[in-house]
Amino acid sequence: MTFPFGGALLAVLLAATPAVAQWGGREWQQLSPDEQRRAWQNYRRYQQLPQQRQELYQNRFQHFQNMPPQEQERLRQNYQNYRNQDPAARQQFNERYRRWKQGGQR
Amino acid sequence: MRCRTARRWITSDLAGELSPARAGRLAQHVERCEGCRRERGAYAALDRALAALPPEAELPPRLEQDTLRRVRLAAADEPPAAGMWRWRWLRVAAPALAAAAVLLLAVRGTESPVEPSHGQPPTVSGAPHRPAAIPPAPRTARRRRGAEPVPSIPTDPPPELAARPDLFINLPVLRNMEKLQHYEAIETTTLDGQDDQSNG
Repeated sequence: MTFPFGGALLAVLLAATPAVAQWGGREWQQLSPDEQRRAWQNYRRYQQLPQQRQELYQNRFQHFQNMPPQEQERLRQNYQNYRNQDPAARQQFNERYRRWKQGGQR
Repeated sequence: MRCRTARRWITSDLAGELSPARAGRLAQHVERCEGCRRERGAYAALDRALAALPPEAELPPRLEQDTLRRVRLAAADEPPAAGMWRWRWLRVAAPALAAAAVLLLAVRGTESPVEPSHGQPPTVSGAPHRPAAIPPAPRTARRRRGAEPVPSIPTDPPPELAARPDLFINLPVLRNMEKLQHYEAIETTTLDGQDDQSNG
């Protein structure tokens, strides 16, 4: 009696999972423990940000998700490069960024 | 400048996204206003903490080995007769699982109205089955043994985090998105006193 019920239940659960997959991103359960840790830490920091900033990141995330995977990877790689800079180089990069924004972006 | 405006601008300034004119006005205000100075200090510390996070998971080899070992031990712990135990457990948990199944179906009913974002018919989504079904097993084993490797993470994450964990994983990238998108162009931008190489 229990076995068929358990099997049916499992089938129902498995049938329901694609709905979750259709949301686009991964689920919490699908993250590795390290990813969960980082997501949790970032979430706590995110909670401290002003509402306006949170909305900005939400919009950026939507934009990011719509990018092709190779573009997403390029951004991650660029972030890695940015992060690996020593403080002086990073400061100079930020100066360049301001300058670039001033000149070419408008 | 009002403190309210200043505080709105502080995070933009820290991300390097404030115009030089506004950055100047903000700097003047922050110099005079102790409250905003503190606020700026707090956000700067937060930014430093965020910047220190790696964008990609660097899984320590020991953690991976330890997790695999625990999974193997959990599997080995179950004697052949454990099947009986498992079904007895299921009989107790069945009502809860059934409720969860109904809930999932309800969610599916409201969410699935086809989002044609990738042009995939809904029936093609067979592939995601496996990753969604496999991960809970080690988690259950871990919880049953009471050896949570990352104690600060809640068992049930807050809804916002559970709904979009990738947002939070990629937060450092999102923070610096514009810089990262135009990284190469920015790198070749010249500063005052340097030879002009890129901006014509």
